[in-house]
Amino acid sequence: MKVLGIETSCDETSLAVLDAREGEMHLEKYIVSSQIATHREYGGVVPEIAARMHCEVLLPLLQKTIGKKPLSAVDLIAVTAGPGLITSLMVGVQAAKTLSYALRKPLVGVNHLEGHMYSAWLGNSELVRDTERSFPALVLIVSGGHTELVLMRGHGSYTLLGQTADDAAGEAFDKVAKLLDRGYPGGPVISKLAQHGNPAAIDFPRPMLATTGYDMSFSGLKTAVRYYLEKKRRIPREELPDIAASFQQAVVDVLTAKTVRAIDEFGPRSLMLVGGVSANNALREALTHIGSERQLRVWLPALEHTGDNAGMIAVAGYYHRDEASLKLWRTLRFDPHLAFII
Amino acid sequence: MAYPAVRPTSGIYHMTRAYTTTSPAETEELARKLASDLRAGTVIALEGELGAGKTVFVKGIAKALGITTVVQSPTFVLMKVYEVQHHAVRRLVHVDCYRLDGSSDLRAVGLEEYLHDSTSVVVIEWADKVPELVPHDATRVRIRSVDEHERTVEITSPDRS
Repeated sequence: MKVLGIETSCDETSLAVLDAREGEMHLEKYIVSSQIATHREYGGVVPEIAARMHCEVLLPLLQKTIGKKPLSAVDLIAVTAGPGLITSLMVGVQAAKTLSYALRKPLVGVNHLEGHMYSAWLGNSELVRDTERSFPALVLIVSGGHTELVLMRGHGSYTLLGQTADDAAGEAFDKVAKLLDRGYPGGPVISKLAQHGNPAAIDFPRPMLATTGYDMSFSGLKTAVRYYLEKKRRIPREELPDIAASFQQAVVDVLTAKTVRAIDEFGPRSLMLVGGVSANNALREALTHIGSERQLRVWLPALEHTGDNAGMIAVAGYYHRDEASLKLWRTLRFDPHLAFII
Repeated sequence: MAYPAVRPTSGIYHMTRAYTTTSPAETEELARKLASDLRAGTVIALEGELGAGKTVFVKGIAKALGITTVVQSPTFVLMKVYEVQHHAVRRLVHVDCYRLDGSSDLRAVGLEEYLHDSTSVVVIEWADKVPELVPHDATRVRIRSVDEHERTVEITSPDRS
């Protein structure tokens, strides 16, 4: 089955053709057009500009993705329906509906967060071959807009265990990078600075570490970094790596502590780390370590699939193929607040 | 503590009250109390630097409106809308202008629709970045950090009495 994936929920326009069958899948074509350079000067995604750029590049990208093959070779169209920026979502959804109608191909709407969960399937052939052995899976989703700990019992069967009470983990990275005057996006900036820093140099708070339950908090950590900088008045350049490394360590500690607690309570058979912040090396290493200590399979998406991409949307669409329909083009709605548990 | 001061601004009398809080929990509780008789159609303009407690203040407002879902920072998506079970207010619209230079993006995500809606309460964080979008009869909340824990919360609202 060939699945055309379309993703435009934020600032990446992405298209993919996934060749999928039981136990085997590979991305035939995969394109991501990033707008990060455009949004950098604003310190974040600008919705109006993002929407306009999606409109500009979507059709040329579709042509590139499909190549000389007829579009009718596609068996299923999967598109991100939410959550995300309303102005960005509508471009992809409208395109998908039009294609579904014109080509008479079934359409399925995908939840963006569920899509991220399926990014773990990309490049992990063992997981694709024998998925059942990895269920239940404990999934940590971390990105600029989300921080969620989810128990995945099977395809489409999710329990939200915990989430951030305030800022997303990726948002904390962005805001601290801005406090350090280091630009956007904050994740790669902090991670690079932290490489040469001492993670134990400054004892930043680990909010909500002691609370029961799985909710997390990163707002107070950001404020603590701010006060640290203000108290010192002048920060010597040499200290920046220590600040970055200590901040990053605090984020990793909070995320891993909640993950470990969930492992103990729910006894999952595998551990997945997905979302934009899953590109963070310290976090990848920490989770891999936890997994090997507890003899759990650890599934990490390839670095190129950690950010928003249509490959993961196509995979999620494939597992939801039973819900696809030829009539959905009439009724599929984009929803910027689409709830995660479907 | 509270000190009322009345001053005329563009024909509407505004009343300013100031409060002191010493923890995020206190700031949230203050907001909850103040929001207990909130009217639908109110726009609240929140100002205060990073980490002052703006989102905490919104959490208190949400609590007063009976919202039980977690109110998270809307920095990334600019605007979050919460449906409300309340006798007068239908929804709480939580806006964050942290990343913005102007108001065109908030127009793009549909804020104006809610600003003129008599069944919504709209709270705008970093409202000082979009003065043109803030109605003249908005309630203004300024949160200032005194030190790491202490905050002064200054609230200026149109005097309707």
